[in-house]
Amino acid sequence: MTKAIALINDFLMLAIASSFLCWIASLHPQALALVRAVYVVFALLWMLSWMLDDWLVLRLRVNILTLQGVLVLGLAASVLGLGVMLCRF
Amino acid sequence: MSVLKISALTCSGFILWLAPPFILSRKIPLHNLTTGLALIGSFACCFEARRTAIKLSQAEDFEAMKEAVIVADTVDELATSAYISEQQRRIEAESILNVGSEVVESLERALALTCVEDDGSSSEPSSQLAKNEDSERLERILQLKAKGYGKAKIILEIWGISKGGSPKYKAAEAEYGRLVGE
Repeated sequence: MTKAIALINDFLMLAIASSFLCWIASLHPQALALVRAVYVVFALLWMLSWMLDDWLVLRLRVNILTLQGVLVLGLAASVLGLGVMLCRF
Repeated sequence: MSVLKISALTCSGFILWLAPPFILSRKIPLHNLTTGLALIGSFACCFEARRTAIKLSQAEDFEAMKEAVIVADTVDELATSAYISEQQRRIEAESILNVGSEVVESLERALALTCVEDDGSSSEPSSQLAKNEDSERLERILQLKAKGYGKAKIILEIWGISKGGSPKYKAAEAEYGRLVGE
């Protein structure tokens, strides 16, 4: 139960961080460019993680399913946070 | 209590994350600032909830381990006591068997000693019988004497031999003399 709550909070923290980046991007055009670059870097890292998952599993000593779960939930949380800030008034 | 705290923090983080962007306008600077502060607050709430949840999870794991250790200790103690009682029962049974054999040995020894004693002093009971017979005869003689019987009549009464020169009478007379002490 408490482990599940901790996992939910991990998800929420990532989504809130994504929303916060969007909020920073809304403050200034240069901040928008910076945040866009940050998102691009994260997207590249995400794709690299999928390609190098075997190496990462050996390196980080985690289960392959755990790594894939983290990547999928990370993408979902980021997209959710981004969507929340894009849909606001 | 901790679960309640975690739930409250998670819910407040969720509300602080979702409510301001849809309630407050991004075109009003104050609203925009409030939205940013709410996002920071919601992140802090989720961070604290996660930290508390992990701490509680570790405590639950520790309690489960402690319970498992207590159960294992109890099982071990029961097994040890069962083993000890079994050993004690075995020792008692062996001691009882040893005592039984000792009793049998002592009885056998006593019986052997009795046999040896019987072999060594077999004449004692017969002499005792003879003494008893003598004392009975003497008593009878004294009774007859008290009645006023004479020697020949007493011999006739006790030994059943009438007066004469027969060897039986002489032997009875000698016996009479020995008993009376003449």
